[in-house]
Amino acid sequence: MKYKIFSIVQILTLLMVFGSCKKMLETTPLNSLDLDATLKTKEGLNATLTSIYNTYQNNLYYGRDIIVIPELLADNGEITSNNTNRFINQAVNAPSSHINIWATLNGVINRANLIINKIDASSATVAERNQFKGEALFLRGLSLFDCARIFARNPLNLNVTGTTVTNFDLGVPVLRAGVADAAQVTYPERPKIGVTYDAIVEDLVAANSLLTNPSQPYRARKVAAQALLSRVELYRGNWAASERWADSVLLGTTAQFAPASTYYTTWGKSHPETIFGLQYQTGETNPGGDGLQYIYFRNLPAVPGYADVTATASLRADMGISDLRFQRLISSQVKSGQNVFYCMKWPLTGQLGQDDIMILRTSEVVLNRAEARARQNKDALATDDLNRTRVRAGLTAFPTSGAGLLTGIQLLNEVLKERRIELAFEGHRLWDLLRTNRDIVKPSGATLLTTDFKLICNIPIAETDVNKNLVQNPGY
Amino acid sequence: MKKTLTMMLMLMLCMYSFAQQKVLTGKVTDESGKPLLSVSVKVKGTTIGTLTDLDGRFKLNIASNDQRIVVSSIGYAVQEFPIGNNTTIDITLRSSVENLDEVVVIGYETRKKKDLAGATVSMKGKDIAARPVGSFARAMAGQMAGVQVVSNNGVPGGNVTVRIRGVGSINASNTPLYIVDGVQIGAANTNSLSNGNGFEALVSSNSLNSINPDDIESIDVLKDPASASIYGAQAANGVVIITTKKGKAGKSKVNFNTYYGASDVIKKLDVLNATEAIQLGYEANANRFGASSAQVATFLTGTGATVKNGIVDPVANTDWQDLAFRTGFAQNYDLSVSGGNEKTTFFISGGYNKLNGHVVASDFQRGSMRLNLDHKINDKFSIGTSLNLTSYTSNGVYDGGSFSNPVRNGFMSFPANRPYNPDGSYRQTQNGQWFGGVENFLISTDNDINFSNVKSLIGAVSINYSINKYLKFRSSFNVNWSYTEEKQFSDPRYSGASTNGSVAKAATQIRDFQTNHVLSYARTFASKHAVTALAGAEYRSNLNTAFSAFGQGLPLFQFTTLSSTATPTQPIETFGNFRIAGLFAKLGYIYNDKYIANLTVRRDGSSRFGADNQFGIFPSASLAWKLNKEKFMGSWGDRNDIKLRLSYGITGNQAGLANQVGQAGANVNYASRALFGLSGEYLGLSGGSPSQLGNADLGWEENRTINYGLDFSFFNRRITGEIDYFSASRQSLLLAFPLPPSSGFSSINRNVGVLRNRGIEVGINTVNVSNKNFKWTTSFNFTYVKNEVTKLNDGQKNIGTTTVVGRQLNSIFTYNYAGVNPADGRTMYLDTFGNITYTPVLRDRYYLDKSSDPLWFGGITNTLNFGNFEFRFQVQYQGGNYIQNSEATFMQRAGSTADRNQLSTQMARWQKPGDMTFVPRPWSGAAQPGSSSYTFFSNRFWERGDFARLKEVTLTMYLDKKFLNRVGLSNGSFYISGFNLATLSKYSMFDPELQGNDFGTYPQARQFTLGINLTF
Repeated sequence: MKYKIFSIVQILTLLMVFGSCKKMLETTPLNSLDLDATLKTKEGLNATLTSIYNTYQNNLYYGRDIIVIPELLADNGEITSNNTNRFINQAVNAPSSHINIWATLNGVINRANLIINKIDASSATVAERNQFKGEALFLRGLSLFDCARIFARNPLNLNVTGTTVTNFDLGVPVLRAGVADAAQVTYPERPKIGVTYDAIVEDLVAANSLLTNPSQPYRARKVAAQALLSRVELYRGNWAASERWADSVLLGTTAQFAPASTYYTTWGKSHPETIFGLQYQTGETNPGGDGLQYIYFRNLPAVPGYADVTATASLRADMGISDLRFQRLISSQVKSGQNVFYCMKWPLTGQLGQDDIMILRTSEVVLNRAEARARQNKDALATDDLNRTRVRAGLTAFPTSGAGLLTGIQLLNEVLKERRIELAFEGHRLWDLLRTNRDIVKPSGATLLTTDFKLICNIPIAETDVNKNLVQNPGY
Repeated sequence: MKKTLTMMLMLMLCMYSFAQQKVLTGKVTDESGKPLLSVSVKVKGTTIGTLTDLDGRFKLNIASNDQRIVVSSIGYAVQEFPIGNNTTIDITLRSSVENLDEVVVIGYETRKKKDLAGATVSMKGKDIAARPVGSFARAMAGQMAGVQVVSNNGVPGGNVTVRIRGVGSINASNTPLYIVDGVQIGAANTNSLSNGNGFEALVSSNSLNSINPDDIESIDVLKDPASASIYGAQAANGVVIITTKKGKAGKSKVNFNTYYGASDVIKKLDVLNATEAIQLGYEANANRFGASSAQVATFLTGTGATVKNGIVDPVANTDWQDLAFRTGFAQNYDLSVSGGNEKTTFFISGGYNKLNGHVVASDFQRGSMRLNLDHKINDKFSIGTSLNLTSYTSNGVYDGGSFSNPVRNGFMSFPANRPYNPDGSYRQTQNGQWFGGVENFLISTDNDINFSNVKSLIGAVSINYSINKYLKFRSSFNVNWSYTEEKQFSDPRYSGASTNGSVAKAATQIRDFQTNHVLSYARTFASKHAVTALAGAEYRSNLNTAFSAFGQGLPLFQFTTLSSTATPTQPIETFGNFRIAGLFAKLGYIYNDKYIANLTVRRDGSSRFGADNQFGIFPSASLAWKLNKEKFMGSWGDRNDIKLRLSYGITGNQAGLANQVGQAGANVNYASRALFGLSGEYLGLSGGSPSQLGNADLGWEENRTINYGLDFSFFNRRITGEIDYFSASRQSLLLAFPLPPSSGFSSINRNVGVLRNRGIEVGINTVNVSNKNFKWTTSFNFTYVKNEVTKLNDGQKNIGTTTVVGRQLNSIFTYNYAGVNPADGRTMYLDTFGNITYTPVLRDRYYLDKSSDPLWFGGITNTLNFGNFEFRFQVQYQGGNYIQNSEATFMQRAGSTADRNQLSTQMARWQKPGDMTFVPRPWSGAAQPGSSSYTFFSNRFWERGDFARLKEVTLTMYLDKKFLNRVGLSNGSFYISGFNLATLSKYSMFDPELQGNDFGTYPQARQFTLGINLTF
């Protein structure tokens, strides 16, 4: 009997030692793939690229927030008195109420990094490599630019009032190595803002050299990189470079300046001015009621919406009632007894949430160049650019020569005013005021200095709690 | 033939014995004189023994010097009889009154309760059957120490929460492992349509509905890791083992049980009538805007009311709760046939159960079939099968905050609204005849479809081989398969022009295959050393797939299929699988029925674990000492029992990985992997992106528990009981380790958290009176369990406000309400310095003394038998927790949101300076200038959850034996039962028997049933 007990123990021991069979435990998910293996394929990297555009479509990014909120933080839009509670804190510049998309932007940058890092090792052809890398570089550049705009001070306006810091010149981290493993996670510091802008420009210049100019504007293309470069250089005061990149766009044949006959009627669907934009196809996820049309515009009962944002009196005063853009792109209505002025640039052309979104368009490049030229005292040329959008809007042209020629600050003021009107509600206003150091007059009449700490978003505590190398913005 | 077999069996048994010198024969009967089959008759102190035949007869060859025989059978007290010079002995066995002889299923084997050293608790099927509750788990409430059952809602067949020894995990599963006749079943099916669609009232998620409660023989719960570690990485939250009925050799038995019942809601909420609601609404508008304001005029026009001197003239009232609740109906039929012979035994049953809910448009029905068959092929081989087929269907209603939820809108709909227009059509929102923003829920309950059906198969086949007298081998093959169909339909006539009706449909399939192979050994040496050993291997493979789709735009309301929709969208196919492989061994030793020692170890691997940490070892040890058997206890020790128990063990929680913390798109089964997931689409292309970073070290959560136990029985076993104290350290708890978002990821899962869980459990059974005419027994249980978070990520003190180092899980951090200012009717709060504030800020919050998890719970059951009657009543109690009464933020606004009804307590609103009341001044918008909103969540809305409830009262009348014999019945009884008859509680909403948040909860029912149980 003792032998038998012993043999049982022996069998048990053998089972314990040799019995484990890893093969029995193999499982394969069907709706996810192995990360490392997938990132080695061009198909995997292509899908990653698609996912970046999908993120751009999200209502937290270009689907709505980054377009609406800069208008509310500045002086173009205000929230109607009867509202759905959306963006009421941003409209009154409450601290920490901003465009808090740090994680979204860094997620995009990481995915772009993975594409750029890994595409050369995949089976992609040279043409495919250039295309993937070019698009990824453009998207990384744009997202890094957005990150710098939201979370760092503009290079031309580094002062912060209300805090002990007077010159806050830190940019946002420039990460170039994609993370696909916890061991690759770094805890980056913030470089100087100049370093961040150099990285943005470097990406866009590289994208410009890799990309071509297909006719459809809904993916990154060469002219988009050039248009964005003209904006980025304007933001950091490189006027000549800005003018040069704007020239590349406007002298080419890809970008079109829409005539009055199509300009007002094509908003929301395939606008001819689009240099780079986003499109939602039927069946794809779209922001629906969380989209731009819903927050900006309704015309009951045909066009439902929250319509919580109305044009401020100062914007309407700058426009004047004879401006065609006021007459055709602003809808005057009464909401719960209040006279409101809705933006109709996303007018519900098809199904709910499917209006196109223009991120870069020709008129902006024209105005970029107008400003760059005015800054360089090329007054006649600047006025020439300025008149293009003015005339289209039914306004009289400024004289391009002679005694009536605008110069100096007068000219610059006209250019910036025209920029405010032309690009109203498209997400430019806050940045244009910050970089030109023009204080914000809120609808309440109060003046908000552009050096106020609240105009730059706090870096979320999810980052600062974990990443001790990173300096928080002043005031938070 | 049968006799020949019996003879052969006896002959074979005789081959093991020597020195036969005498033949002893006899007959064993029960107290009524019926012969008993398969009773063990042994000569004391030897291995000589036999079993009785069909006629209860036995025949033993014994040595002439053998002194006593020991007779034993399950359900009867073990008895000894002197042999003397007799050659025939007729024996009458008495039913055992004490539970120490009961057999407990403890995982791949059964043991006598008296020989256990771990912590287990059991209940019998008869305490579960004949309750109109859908799933058996609800009937477990208050019946077992250490096992907490919270119904959470009164949906027929709805979900229950079962916690064994409290909460042991922060982010992972707290659900025990359920095993039905050896088949491991998931407690929850995947409910494909419940996510985001807002109706828990579909019961498809409760897979425990697949068991017909009438089929259950016993439920055994393994509480401590020493008992449960044989189930390794699945056992950290305890194991619930359900054993169904088996046939017994002998005369075939036909049992028929039926009951009919009615139910209604336990209570209706006391709400305002139309005149009172308009009065408060009028005051709310008049207080804010002035009595002659446009707002007051609009309000009065809308409600159709008039006001004189500030008092609203009476208007007609609609009691919306009467429209939401109805008298529910229950019917149940169970028919079973069981029986067999020495070679084959069987149990066949069929059941039908139908419950019409006490809330309109909700019901549950189940049809079930079972076959349990055991067959001896020969002396070496036997085969057994257990097969359960069930289909259960429910129609549900919207729940939670939905405006189509009849329960919620039963008490919240504005009482001045009529349900129908004069022409019989529905009154609706925004058509000029309806006041306020709350919908007419009848539109949904009359016309929408919320349907689910589950078909389930639980089957097991096992082959047993007796290698020799001591060594046995058993192979089992188990399958658990279920197919769930769910459907939602929203009527196009009422869903609005932009939707124009919608249809959602889902089909979910779960296939779970398990097989285990166990070698077991049992032998007693020198009649003092009882050795048991067991070794085995097990494999489980689970597959879960689902398909669902959604569509909008229906041409006619009669079209209710997906194909009829104009825009079918969102086709979703989900897939998940996991596999577990384990090896286990158990060694038991009992010395002289006095000292007990057990060692168990299991090595489990799970596909859910990380590649570098795929296998875990789960050991345990337990010791027990029967103190009363010691010599120094003398004869006292023969009449009483004292057993001391000590155990320590480690179990794992592999379902711990099932909840990915804070990461989107993660799959529950692949939490350790580095994954590339699907990520949206653009311009007709489908996108993908890194969705999850891998953690090859990710493993199971651990439950390390030390358990001290005492089993006792006194006064000739009139008082029996057990007391356990346990201290559990729940380690390696799954937490999200935060990463800097600049990396593109927010967190990665790691096993780092630690939670301590301590408690005491008491279970006592007493026979208070026992004589020929009257017997009174009491069964009492009490559990106290409290946990404390002891470690989170390094340096991390808290996760939010509910998970804080040094505090109970689910702690409550809230504001301190200080009532209404008598001067102006504003709501006041205490700030962090104890001063009055009207606008509390974050720092003014404080921790309540208790969390939302109950600290104590239990029950007490009294059974009285007199003559042919049995009277039984059970009380369930629970407390030491707070309930988050979210509904109160809507129902206690002093009428300030003037298009919804309020609790009638709100009539005590503040009206003039000096009024001392807890109800603030009616104020349109519910926030007076310079003070916070009336809906501001503070301790005003955290209510104590303590309650005691008369859960069940049953009166049974057993039919007279003589009468039964005349009509050919062997047993027969009538019974009448009442459930949830009375509740002692201060809770202000329907029912305190829930945990956490109360928001639109389908309340429990008060039920009455009338039934008959007949055995042929």
